[in-house]
Amino acid sequence: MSGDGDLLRLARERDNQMEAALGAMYLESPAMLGRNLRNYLSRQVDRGRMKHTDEKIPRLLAGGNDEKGLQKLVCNAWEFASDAGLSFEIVGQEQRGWLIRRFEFHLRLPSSRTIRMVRIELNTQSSHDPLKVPRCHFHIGDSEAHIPFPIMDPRLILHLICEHVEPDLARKRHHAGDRKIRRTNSPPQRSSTTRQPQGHGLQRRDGEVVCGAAPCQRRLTAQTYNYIQ
Amino acid sequence: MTDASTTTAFRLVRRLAAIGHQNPSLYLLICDATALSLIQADLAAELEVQLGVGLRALAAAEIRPERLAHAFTGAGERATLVSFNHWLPKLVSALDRNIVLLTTAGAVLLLMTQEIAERMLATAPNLRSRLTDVLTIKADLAFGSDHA
Repeated sequence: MSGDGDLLRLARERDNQMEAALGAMYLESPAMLGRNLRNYLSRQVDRGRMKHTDEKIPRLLAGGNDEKGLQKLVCNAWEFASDAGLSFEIVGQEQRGWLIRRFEFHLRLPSSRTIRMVRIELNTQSSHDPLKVPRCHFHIGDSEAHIPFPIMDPRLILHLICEHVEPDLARKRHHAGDRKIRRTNSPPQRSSTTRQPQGHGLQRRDGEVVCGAAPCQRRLTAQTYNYIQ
Repeated sequence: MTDASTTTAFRLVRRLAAIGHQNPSLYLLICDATALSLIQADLAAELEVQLGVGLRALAAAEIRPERLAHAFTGAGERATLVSFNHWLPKLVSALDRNIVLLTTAGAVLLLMTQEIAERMLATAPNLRSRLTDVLTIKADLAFGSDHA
């Protein structure tokens, strides 16, 4: 293992790479980004993934006194059908084209979930201690850890949250079998793979065991299936 | 004139997306005289974002009544917007006589003030009967500062 100095150098190099990626990511304009995000969220509403379309979200605002010359896109609350809530703020600055200065995406999960929150943040500047706080990072649940997160276009982050993070963390109620498995230390009971699954809405399709409870259709491993049986 | 319901470029383009922007539709859009260029910019942006198509913007004053066919053919993938800055009786009369040109050109949006709209609806019965809807359109408040 390298010494602390080496680790700090590596962390600074990582933040420098983030800085370079950010400097190469030009936006057409904050308003156009806002229209793109609004359109994306409205399509999520059309698909029944979110509750209501609000054409005033996100809203484009001028930066405050400490952010003169900046423009920010603000979404205070957008509700998923699962009762999870999404808010975000993206701040852009014009420097021979529009660049992202900072952002924060905050996904608040339903109170019935073990993990209550996921937040993805890009800070305005690198921290004095990039080993502890990378410039772009995410937080999960109550953890104090700042986990490095790659720089990417805010549209990709929104897509990641809507299509992967929220579905995975907010809508698992019908997977009681999965939770039951995690609580037991008993070894797997090997059984015939030709036996039809019982309970939990499980069905065998094309050689795989899937959860039949719509809309998940989640694939279970053969080992998980054997545990449940 | 009956009060028209209010819309925005965002909502109107969502409507066009639902019916298919290449299907014939003819909208009469009413706005304040000062908002004509803002509405045009909103429509162009929403068409690009929601449908990935361009806006063919025509100033009514530049359309020659005897060359209507030239103005409305070849719209292709794009939606067509005709903005009226003032009352043009010869053009409106020509549009009314050749209404089929407007109803075969995909989505056609006629943008004008309340006063011009009232005169058009009163003097162009063919056009009036072919309208998909008459709407009051407002500038997009969410991105208002972008118009500066």
